[in-house]
Amino acid sequence: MTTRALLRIAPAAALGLALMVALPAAIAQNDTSNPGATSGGISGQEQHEPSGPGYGPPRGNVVAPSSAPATSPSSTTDAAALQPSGALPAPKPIPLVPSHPVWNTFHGQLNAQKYSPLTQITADNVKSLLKVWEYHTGDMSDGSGERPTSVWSATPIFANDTLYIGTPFYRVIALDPGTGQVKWTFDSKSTLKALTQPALKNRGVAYWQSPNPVAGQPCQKIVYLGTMDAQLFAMDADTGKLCQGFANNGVLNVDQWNDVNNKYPLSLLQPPTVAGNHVIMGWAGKDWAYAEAPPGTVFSVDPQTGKRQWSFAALPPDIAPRTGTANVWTGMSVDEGLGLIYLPVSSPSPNYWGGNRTEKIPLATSTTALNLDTGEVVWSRQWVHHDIWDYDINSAPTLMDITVSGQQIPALMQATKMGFLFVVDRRTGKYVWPIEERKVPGGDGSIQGEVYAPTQPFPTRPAPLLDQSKKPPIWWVADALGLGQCSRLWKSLDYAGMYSPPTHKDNGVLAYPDSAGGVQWGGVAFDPRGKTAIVNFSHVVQSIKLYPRKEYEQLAGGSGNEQGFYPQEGAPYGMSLDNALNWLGMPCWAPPFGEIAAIDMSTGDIKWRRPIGASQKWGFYMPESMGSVTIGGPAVTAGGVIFIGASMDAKVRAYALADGKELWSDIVQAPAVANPAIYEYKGREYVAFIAGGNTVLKDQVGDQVAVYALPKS
Amino acid sequence: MLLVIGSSLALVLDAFILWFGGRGWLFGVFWVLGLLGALGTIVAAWFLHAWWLAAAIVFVFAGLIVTLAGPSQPRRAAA
Repeated sequence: MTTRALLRIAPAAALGLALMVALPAAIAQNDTSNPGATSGGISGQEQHEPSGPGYGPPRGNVVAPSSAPATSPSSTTDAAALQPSGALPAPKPIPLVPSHPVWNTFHGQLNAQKYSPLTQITADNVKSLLKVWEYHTGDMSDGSGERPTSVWSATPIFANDTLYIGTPFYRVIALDPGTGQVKWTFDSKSTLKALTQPALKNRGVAYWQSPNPVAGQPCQKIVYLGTMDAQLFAMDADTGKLCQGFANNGVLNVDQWNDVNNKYPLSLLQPPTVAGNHVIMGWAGKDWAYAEAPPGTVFSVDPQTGKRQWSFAALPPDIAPRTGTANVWTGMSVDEGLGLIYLPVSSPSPNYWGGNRTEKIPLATSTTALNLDTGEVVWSRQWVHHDIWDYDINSAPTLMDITVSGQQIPALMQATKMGFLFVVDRRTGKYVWPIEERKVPGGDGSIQGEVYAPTQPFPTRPAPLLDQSKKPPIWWVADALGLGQCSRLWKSLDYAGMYSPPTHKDNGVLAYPDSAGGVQWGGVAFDPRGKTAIVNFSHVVQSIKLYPRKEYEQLAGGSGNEQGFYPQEGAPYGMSLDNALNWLGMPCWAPPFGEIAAIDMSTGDIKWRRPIGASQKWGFYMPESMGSVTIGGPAVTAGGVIFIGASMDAKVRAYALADGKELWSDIVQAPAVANPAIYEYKGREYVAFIAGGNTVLKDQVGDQVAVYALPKS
Repeated sequence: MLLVIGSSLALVLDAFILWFGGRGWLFGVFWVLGLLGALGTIVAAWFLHAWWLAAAIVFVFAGLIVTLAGPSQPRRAAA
């Protein structure tokens, strides 16, 4: 009897407690302010003296973190970060924002605005949105069989009156945009092994069409698919048949150019960027595995022949053999009028120890503008000096024309893992609002061979999306249910403010945001009419610890997706990366866990911010006031609607651009970790989501393409 | 979800006991258990966004009230 009663009461008590948790959070639902999110670096009173010119030795002691916002800049010069400007190409009369609806590339348009001028779906009628068709590719794996887990983050592209999608099994499917009927499929028959990633990944396909098509000839319109094993397939967009004139009968072996530290293939998971007569490819590698890895070369090839046109390397050739990467694994953006392509460049190898690359590497962890036709650097701006946090620049910069203080500026916004939004003139890289070089913490002496950059760039506007001036507050519920576990963990983690470096001491260093980033590869959407930028971002805390090699070999267990032990083979230190959770798996840091915000790009002020989505554990949805960690980005329309999936609860949503109010939602098969696509076909506006899932969010995979439209009147 | 299914099955069992059992102290115990179970299940349904289950539990509450207002003698004896 007693046992039965306890068994009966236990779930009720647990859920009642959850309700208690929900109520205060729900009360705070409309509190969109984040007073702490104006700070970063070491506050004025506590700034360390620089260690000397260039990168310095470790600091002696960790200074206690300050809760005061940083108000005293070290400098606002561009000299520390901006590389001398090269010559701008001759301008061309190509507008930044296409005059007609376009969604033929990963970020919708080459400017990465993810903006549709369509107005059929509005903030007033979006609540009537219906799923008009769905398609299941069959290409998914939960990892239980022989195949690795699938992670499908493809944005469908609309071109040639067709919706093209790539799958994590490296197939291309061409669908009728109005009905979802299959037009053709292409199977690369690529290896389905996770050669460089913990999962089979695909972010879609790219499209090119000839400006001067030859009648009756195939491959005047081409779809490109990259694979895990570094093959680029080019197929006719009308038939799906390989283009025989492209490279080797339609297949370009990009790994032929993998000639330095070729520990793994150059995985083509992100679709190429296609602009003018160029197919430009970055690639993804195997993070955290090696100290010496392939250097991150970007290749431009001819769209019809696959012949290499130019290449770009962020690493100087004399440094590349003893480090590696600084690759471009995410999307790029292009201003065809200016003739520039903008590369978000990642960090060098290994990610969390830089003793093998103590020289300045100015093009690493940067936004770098190249001449689209020649690949020459026009300007480059480094966002993290001597990156030992894996703060890869992980999204295509969003290009936007804005007016600030009465001056029209062709600008670029670079969102970052750090939660910083840097805004610069996209012709020169010079800041629009001051970007300050602030002093940051040095090391504690526990890491041999390491050097530390004395300052790092911090934006003044827009304000940082996360408050990294101090350790994030502990979530009392997780701490209570963990019997003080979170408090103990917080005390044992080093943190002296943003850019506190990895350490061997205690439980390591607190990392906030996490390795996946505050803002991720979905990037920033932009409404060019209202000059409003929209960005979703996550609040996640991790701990990073470096272990001397012998100790690492004794301790190392398995590694998961973005957490666990990683060897950094070739470096004197292995490392571990762990989410800051209690024994129940609850986050130790206080919610919200994810937000979406709108920014007035005339002033740099945040118009509104709100939690996005709902977290989910064991099927239980937490209150939406707590938000969700997100993967994937937003899209925005002239109808005043923001569309986004991205959240853990596998819902796709519409928010009002004006005030962030949630207007509509629907449940899809798995978290829609891809940016949505918006297109018009036969006079009807459609919104397409791909629900593929990502195990970083939760163990749920999908193979669904879900397409929505208003009911036919 | 298994937790909710288990809890719902326990509620059904509880209903049988209340219906066929007597009116002694056991009735009080199972009535209170039923109430706690229904409360727990409706909260779980809320967090699972299982609105159909939440609606079903409203009927459980109604049933519990009806049981209180039912005949004071054991039904077996009345039969």
